[in-house]
Amino acid sequence: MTRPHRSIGRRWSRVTGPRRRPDRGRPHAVYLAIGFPPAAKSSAYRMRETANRLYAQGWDVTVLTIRRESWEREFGLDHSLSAGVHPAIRIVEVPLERAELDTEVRHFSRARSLDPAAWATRARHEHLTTFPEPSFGGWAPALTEAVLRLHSSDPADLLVTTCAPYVTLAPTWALWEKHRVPYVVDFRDGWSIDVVNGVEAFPPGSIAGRWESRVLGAALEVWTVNDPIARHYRERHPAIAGRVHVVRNGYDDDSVPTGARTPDPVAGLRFGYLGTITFPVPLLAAVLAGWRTARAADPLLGNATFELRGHIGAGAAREDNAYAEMLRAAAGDGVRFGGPVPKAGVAAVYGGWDALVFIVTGGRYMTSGKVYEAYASGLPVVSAHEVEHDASDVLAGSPLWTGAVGADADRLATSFRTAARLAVTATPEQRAATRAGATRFARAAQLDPAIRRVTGAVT
Amino acid sequence: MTRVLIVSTGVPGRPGVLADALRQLAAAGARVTLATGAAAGKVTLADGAAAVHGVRTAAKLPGPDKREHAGAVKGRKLWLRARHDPVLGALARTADVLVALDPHAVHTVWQFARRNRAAHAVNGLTPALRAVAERAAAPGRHRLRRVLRAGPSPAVAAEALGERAGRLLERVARKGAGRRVLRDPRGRRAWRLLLGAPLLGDERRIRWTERVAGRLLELSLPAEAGAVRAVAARHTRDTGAGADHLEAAAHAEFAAGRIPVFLREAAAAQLALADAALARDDLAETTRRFAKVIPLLFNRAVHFDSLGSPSARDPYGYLAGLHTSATGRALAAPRGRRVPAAAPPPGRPRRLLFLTHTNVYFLTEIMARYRARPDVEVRHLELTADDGAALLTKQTGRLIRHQLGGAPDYGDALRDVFAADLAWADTVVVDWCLGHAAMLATLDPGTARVIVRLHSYEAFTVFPHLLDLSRVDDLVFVSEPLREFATAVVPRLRQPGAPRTPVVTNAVRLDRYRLPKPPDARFALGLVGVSAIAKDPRWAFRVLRELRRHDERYHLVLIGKELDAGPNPVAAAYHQRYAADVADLEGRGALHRAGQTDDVPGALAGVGVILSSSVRESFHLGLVEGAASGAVPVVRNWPFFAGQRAGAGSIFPAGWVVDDPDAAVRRILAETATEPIWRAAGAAAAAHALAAWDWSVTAGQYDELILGDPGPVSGR
Repeated sequence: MTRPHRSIGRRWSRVTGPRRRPDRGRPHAVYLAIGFPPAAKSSAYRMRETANRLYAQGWDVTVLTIRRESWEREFGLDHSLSAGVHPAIRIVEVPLERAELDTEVRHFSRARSLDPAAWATRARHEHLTTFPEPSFGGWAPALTEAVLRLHSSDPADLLVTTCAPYVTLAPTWALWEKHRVPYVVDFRDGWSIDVVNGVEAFPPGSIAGRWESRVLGAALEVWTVNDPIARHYRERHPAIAGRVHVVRNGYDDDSVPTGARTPDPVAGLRFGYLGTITFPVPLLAAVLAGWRTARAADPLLGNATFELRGHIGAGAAREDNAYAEMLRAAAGDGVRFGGPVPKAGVAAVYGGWDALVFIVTGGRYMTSGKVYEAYASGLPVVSAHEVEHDASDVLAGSPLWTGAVGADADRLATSFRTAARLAVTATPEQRAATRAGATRFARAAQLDPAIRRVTGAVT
Repeated sequence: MTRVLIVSTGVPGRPGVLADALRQLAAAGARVTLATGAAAGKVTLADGAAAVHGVRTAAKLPGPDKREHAGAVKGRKLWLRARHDPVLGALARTADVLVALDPHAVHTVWQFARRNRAAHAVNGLTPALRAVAERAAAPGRHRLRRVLRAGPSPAVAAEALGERAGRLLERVARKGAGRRVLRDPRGRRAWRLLLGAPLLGDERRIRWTERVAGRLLELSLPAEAGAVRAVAARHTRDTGAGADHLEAAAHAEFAAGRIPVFLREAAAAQLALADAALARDDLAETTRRFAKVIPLLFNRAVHFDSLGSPSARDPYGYLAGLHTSATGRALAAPRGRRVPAAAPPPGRPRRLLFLTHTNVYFLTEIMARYRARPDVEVRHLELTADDGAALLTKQTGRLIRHQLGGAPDYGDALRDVFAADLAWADTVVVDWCLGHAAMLATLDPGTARVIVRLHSYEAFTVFPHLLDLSRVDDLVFVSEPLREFATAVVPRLRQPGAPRTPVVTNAVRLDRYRLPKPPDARFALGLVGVSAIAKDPRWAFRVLRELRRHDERYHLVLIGKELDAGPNPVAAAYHQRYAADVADLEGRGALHRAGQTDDVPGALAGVGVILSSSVRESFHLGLVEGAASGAVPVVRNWPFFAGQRAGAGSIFPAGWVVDDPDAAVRRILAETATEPIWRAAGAAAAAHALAAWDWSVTAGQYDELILGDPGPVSGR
């Protein structure tokens, strides 16, 4: 299949990569991925690898995302993430941004300045009248127009759309309706399931429910990050049960340390947490209380430190919210917040710690991406999450895992002490075995079979 | 050096984060002042971290600003104080970075930023640190900017001018709402025009409307006050504030014993908000707003405690807003049933389930009949018998939410209540078309046939609008007027797929009322049941007074529960007049209150003329019982249905129905002129009643309805 490709033109906020694809006969996949690198978001890891794996399996890839400046308002940019994107992958940025995260007061209307909360509520309502998603729904027309315009310039053979945000379902459906372009929905955490509380997020008859049903009904495949979410979709939409597949997040090889540092209890063991800090405040309080108790009770932890790295808050609340205050108040217990870590520095950060703390909200429907890195790091892991949690299923095979004990501070203290013991007693063989056990969760191993299946179905 | 002004509404809520940021700012060479709405002494910072300035207090504001401060939003309050603080003004003018530390400080920073156009103006500490770093990276650019953008924005002067004009307008409006102006019809007309002016602004429109309406009420001009509110409502955008204001005003009218003339506008405002919430899938807000519609459109003071009803005057038009709203349509959306109702399998008794909520009076004969039949098995599910089910009947909000597609837990709870009996039954008879009927219809009835009986007052409630008619096979009425009225109120009853709407009159044994009447009963008028204002006993009093002008022997006997003192001010107003009439008539010996009795046939034996003075009835069983006893029936042409094709005359022989008290008097005088005439007229009435409505006749109709072939549903 050879055909001359047209340039996609210049009416975009920014295009990285070729405006005109080389005529090499590769099929063209449009990847609708809002949050693609350089956005410093946890989902960017999966997005980057999805684009890379698509390219590796013979696709020309055009990524459609929003302008990078908008991520500055959220968690910022991580250009080291972009470095890992294959240079042949074209990234098209649509001029969209989240106005509610704007911190420039001069940009505000009088009404917004007078009552920012009421303004935000009105904005959410307006979004919802366009598409049933509070912060992004208003993007539906612009994204739809962008996808259709892109397709008219450089037709797509496949659309892969990743959620959240779910507003990407609107252009996905439009492209299917108008041009019958097959599509895959990478639903990750799903939409109609509230993975935090483990309940239905909205009923099938609601506007969101009807959207979900319509879009999933014609999807080539639907991907979720774990079995419970996949089960939810198979039960909710029996007609597509055979098309729902689990594509776990996995870890990137360059995110795990190659070796382990030698713990030094005299200088102080180093515990660390890496990830976005969005879990419930009481959970963080329990972790800090458990840490304080363990540190006071166990000489091995007497001078240990606990460093938290990642993003806290967005917009005006960036690093200025209840979490930030709690962490600063815990400074006397050896707790320190070190800010975000660029992707290129993740392995080094893990390599500087003796044990990890894995904190995550939700229950059996929640996995998180960081659990795979934690496992693959070969370090002892303290789990602060519900016992019945998908992360428990992932970590169950690790000999250096202290087990899930919920959000009880005393039990967490015991976990910290266990992890300290493991940190100083774990043999190189145990660490190697742990790393080996985690290899099945390498991201490429998760994505490749799925992309191979889709490629086979489309080309 | 970079000068940073941080503005905080009160004592900073996260001192650790602030201290950390101040340290970083100091390290970056910034000089920081924290301006706080709290007293400066309440803010504790590390030595030298920042200067603290307490913003001028509200007590020191000039008069107009002090007045505005009292009712202003928090963001505006802080600015009203800040703009009269010269020290803060100087700090803001010289600052390089203006920072809002909390949401309510944003407006003050926004205002300062318009006066200092060279400064960075940011919301939050991290953006502040970034701004300081940016200025440090390019100091020359920012120095130049200060030169080029000196002086405040022209918008500041425009705003000041607008503010002055606004305050002048407020003063004029305050004076214009004086009693002298409002007493004059031209003044009131001018206000209506002004409050409907398109550019007035909703906040001001609402405020002025309330002021003018309040004054008009003080002047005892409630209709004018209502008209003003209606005008304002029609020109207010669909905002929560506008809708809530109208709702509050409507309830104030009810509390004052008046029916608000802007009732439909108030309901429309809530419906518009419900629709907007529905469009964004916010089912909680949709439910909340729709729940506010119910006590407006279906308020008992409007339909039951008044002698008229806007719904009766214009059955479709009154609820047109509900029917055309997205919420109304969503609530009425048919969920359908997987299989149609089917005939019971042969070889076993037919299974009949009666579903009731409290009132089983009109089912007594019916249930007894089928319990006695060997070919029928009867179950009776009375929802108040179970505390859990009884609680569910009171949760109309959850029912609404469920009908909209949410509240699956409510659906599960209803399934627990109904599923077993529904699976057992071949036919379900639901008496009264109220919440329990709507609750049942949330479940697919399977092959069971569902019959719902609507008596009368339910047609003036919200419940027929919450009932999924696609899961009802027969909606039974007890009279033709009610059927005609209900099909106008619930237009879905005329659409394809609607249930059948048969008319079967109430089941009653009339033969037991045939007792001998003494001769002096000829002058005794009787009225059975006066507990509701709809019975309008004062109409009967007018007839009685007129009759007594001809013959003082005429008197009236009230049988049944008395009208109570009034559940609301509207009803209380009627009751007050009723009580005065009763006292007057009893004083003259013209009225006897027999009260509630178990022996209605015995009480009716002493009655020679039975009246139906009601403004609305479905069938008026008391009247029919009186006729069966041999009393001469006199039926007021029930005003609620007088404008319909089918009124009281569609039930009773034409001679029984009168249009007004004079006609009633003429009929009574003629039919009681002599004892033989009276007895003959009474005997004819009794014969008609027994032939038309006695259980011996209607039982067959019930058999046909309940035990007949389910057949396809085809509307009428």
